[in-house]
Amino acid sequence: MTTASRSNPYTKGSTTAQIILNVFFIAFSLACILPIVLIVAISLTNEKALTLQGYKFWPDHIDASAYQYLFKHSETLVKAYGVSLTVTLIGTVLAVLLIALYAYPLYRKDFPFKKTFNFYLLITMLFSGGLVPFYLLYVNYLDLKDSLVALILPGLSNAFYIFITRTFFQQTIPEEMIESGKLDGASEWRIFFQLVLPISLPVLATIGLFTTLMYWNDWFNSMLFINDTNKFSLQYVMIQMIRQAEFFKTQLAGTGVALMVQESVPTESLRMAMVVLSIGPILFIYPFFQKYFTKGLTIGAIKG
Amino acid sequence: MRTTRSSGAVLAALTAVILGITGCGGGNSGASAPSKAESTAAATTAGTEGSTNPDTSTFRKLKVYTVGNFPQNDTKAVVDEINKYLKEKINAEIDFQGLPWSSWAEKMALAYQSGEQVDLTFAPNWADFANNVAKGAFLPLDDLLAKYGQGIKDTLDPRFFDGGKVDGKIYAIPTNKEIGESHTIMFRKDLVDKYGFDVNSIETLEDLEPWLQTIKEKEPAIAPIWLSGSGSDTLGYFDKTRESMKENFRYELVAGAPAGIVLDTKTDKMVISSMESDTAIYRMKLYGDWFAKGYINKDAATTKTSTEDAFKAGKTWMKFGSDKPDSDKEDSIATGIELVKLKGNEPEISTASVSNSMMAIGRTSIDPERTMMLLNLLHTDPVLVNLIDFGVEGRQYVKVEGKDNFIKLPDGIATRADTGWAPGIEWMFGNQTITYLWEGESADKWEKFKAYNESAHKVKSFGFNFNTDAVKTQVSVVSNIIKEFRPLLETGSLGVDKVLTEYNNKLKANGIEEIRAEVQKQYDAWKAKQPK
Repeated sequence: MTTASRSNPYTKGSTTAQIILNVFFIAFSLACILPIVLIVAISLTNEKALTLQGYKFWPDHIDASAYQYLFKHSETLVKAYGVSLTVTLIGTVLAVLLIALYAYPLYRKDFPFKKTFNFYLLITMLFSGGLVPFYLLYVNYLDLKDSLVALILPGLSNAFYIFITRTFFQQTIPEEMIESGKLDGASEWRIFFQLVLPISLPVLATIGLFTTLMYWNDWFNSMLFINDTNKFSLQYVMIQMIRQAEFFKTQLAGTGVALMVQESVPTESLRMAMVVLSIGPILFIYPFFQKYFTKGLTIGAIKG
Repeated sequence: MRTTRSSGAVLAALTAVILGITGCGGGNSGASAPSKAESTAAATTAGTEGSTNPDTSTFRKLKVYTVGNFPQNDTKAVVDEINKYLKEKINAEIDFQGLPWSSWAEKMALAYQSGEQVDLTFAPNWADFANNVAKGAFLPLDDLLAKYGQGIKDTLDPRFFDGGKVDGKIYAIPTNKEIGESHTIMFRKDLVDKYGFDVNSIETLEDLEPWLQTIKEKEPAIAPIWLSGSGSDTLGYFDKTRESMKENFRYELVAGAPAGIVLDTKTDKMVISSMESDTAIYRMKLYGDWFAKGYINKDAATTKTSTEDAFKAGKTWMKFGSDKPDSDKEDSIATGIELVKLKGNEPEISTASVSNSMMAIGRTSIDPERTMMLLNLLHTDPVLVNLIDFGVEGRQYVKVEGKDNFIKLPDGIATRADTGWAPGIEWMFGNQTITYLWEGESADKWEKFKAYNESAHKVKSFGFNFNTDAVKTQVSVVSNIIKEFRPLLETGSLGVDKVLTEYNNKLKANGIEEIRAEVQKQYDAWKAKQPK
């Protein structure tokens, strides 16, 4: 964004409006940032101090024992990181490719079964078999228990994203371009990979970001299909720690069993340290996608 | 060009198929699976009726599901050791599925429904047991027990068997542990000694008042009583008040009914405790009085810090616990703070207490006979149970010299959690009374258990379980009201009278009477069927 030649757009409008807008967005940003700051603060607080004084944005004493503990037991974490990264990378690349491959024929006017495939897609959006059949399919028919494929497969396509991608194609890719590609003797594949996809980077990046986040944050499939501790994803390790405490409070409360169970609920600061460590990578991904988003907006604007 | 187009079409079709599978989770495949599971189940039951001799010639790998503090680092070593032993004994090994608390309930529901192999599974009453039996997740065990479970019959208190019965058939075998429940309050021994308190002098809650006064005056940093609004930390755990003792615990909780409804054992009528039970109202007023006097932490109604956590952090000197034998010693070991406990009320055997830890055999078991043999071993074979409970000797624990039955942690290890095997499942597997004792526990702990179990008495509604189906909506609304008011009523914060009136009005407005009528109806019907 270069704004040197134009007058600065930020000084337009009345000062009052500017002030109100600025104050609003400063407050809004704080509302987003402060929880993260608090999480970091809690992860650096001594557990005893937490019980005695509650949460503080500035801990009286910085206590990194939660992190020390995590690094001492880093084996699990490193493995979990590996699983999460593998699944996210493979999953995202495949998902984006598949979504684009499905969306492209739906955009092509000369594709004869357009209606059928559109309808088929819509059906999957409206109806799902439910959890048990889903589980049965993966465990009994595909035999994917304890396999990373079971973490990748469920997210490989998404009807909604396919529709978004199709619409994007319709709005930005001129029919004539396909025609001229054909005249120049390019095959369908070549047209798709060398003409259509490069122009569609903004939508691919958007879908890519969504699926990256989806894969990175997914713990439910791990819970269903993974029993082997070496294949736990990072989020699953974390959710287990966090839900453990909840489970004791809700499910066992008042059963009399609650007093029998020797809780080994991880401390608050340990859980928050875990959260801090797992936010990391995903934070760095945003800037990388950022440029495509701005481009996406401009492309839309130029088309008009 | 033709070739490209056709290969493109194939690829497109293939893509569509893959997407179809992933997109909608294969909605049409569910129908055939249950039938498959049923057929295997039918085959196994047909197989069991023919055999009388235990045939262990075929090697079996049994899937054992349980819940606890999993995953544990040393699971593999412990399970290998268990398998070595079992291979000799019954020519079987176990595929041990230790699931963490956080995902166990969901995973088990799926395992039962999807027809996966489940041989032995932890099936307590508080985890959808009745529902799972109704769905046919477990095999009836009467015949198997008669053939291969003699050891269980010999060692288990017969009163336990009611816990796993549904419509007169046994579907699960309870763990051999304390048969009844009783609760107590434990205090820090150092402070009890410092002020010369005598735990034996405490008969009722009111007797505690001088103690609380002393602590309030002399230990300002400590809350004499710590309660938290979660509803699970309640003085009701120690239910001995002058009022309740006078009537000799006239009111009983009813299994399955909302906590607001109790059984009046004198008249056999269901009553709404906050309106009609003098005992309950008296107790709440006592809390209010104590709260006003400053004996209870000021933020009791809202704090998220449980009594247990506050105790560990040094904010209070008491915690709640079970009153089973040696529970104070167990908790001292667990918290690292020496404790003494009050004498709780007499242990009560309720529907819940005999069924809160049971093992069932899954409908999809590959070999129900062998699984019953395994269960029989768990009830009779100390070697096996100790392996499962405590891990491998020399790795997770060492024997205390000169005492055969006592164990302690290996040198240089501070807590059980550091040994790589501390799932906390002693109360789930087989027979707790044949296991090792930790150093510091009473040598006669298990004899005490026996005496404790013998002194336990059945509650009047033992065996009755309220079915909420007819008044589902009311129950869910009322349960929410109870949840909302409990922190206020159980901690004495805010004016008791005002809160109580508001609470009762809300209950009345939301169908508590209908629930009461339904509970009464079911209870009367159940009572009529009981042998006199």
